[in-house]
Amino acid sequence: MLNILVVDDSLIMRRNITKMIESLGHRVVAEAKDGLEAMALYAKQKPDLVTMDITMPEMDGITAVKELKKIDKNAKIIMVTSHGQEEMVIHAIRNGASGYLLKPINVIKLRDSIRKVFPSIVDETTLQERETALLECDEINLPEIEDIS
Amino acid sequence: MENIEVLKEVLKAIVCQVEIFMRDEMKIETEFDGKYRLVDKVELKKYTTTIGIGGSLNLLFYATYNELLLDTMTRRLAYGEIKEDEFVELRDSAAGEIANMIMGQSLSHFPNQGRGVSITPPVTIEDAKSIVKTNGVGIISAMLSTPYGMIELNVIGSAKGEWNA
Repeated sequence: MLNILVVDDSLIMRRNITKMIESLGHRVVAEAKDGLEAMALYAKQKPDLVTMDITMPEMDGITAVKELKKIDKNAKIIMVTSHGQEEMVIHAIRNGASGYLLKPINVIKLRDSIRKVFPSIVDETTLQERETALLECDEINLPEIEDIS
Repeated sequence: MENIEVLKEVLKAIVCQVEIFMRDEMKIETEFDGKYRLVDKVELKKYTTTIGIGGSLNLLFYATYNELLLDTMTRRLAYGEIKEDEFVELRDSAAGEIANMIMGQSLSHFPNQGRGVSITPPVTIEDAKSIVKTNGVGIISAMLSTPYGMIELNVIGSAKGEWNA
């Protein structure tokens, strides 16, 4: 399970991302409305991962990435972006962002972005996939084992 | 390219992305009559979201829609069930977020592929009445109908002179 900080100036986006993260079995440790709030909350919560919007008041996402990297060079940050912001995403990645997520967001896109940053992470969907695989194994008709004792 | 043509091209790009967004993300069918009208006045509906388009272009974009349509879009944009006490706040936020996503998707279809264009954060206004044209300004309008009401898209900018990318 990962501890995640969600940064977005849009209420509905913060709410959606938080609910999706929770449905994947991770924990949202805090939500921030802009880069400045994100800096303060990052220092306090020390999350494993940050989801970061790009266009925000006070301090935008790209500046926040640069600042977060100054205080923690290992900070893992996924940029949340719309089409048309590709140049800004490249800029953010050059400044240390680990990946990006294109709006509109859904659980699968979010899960895949997290898996790219944390390839060995086990989330709720991984567990479900394993469970389904086990059930499929159970359904295979194996030949009965002969008792040779 | 003449400025008035720029307004039309920008609006065309936005209309196209609205149709795609409504169909693919909102699961709402839209119908567009294909007309881009040059108007003197826009009568606004219950909710209006505006975004400024700056940089190499200088325009204003307005999307205006009625309550039922915005309520439906809010419920479809939200992940999971919305509690009644959070709905109003989420609706205000959804109006801006939807306009933002559509604008982002439209940018690369603007004249000159939207190079050098920047957009402001969206602002949503409730119960505003109208926008009236002043000298030298052009307002181009397009209307899309949905089963939940009309959505009207407007681009406002200088109507005279030429635009050079």
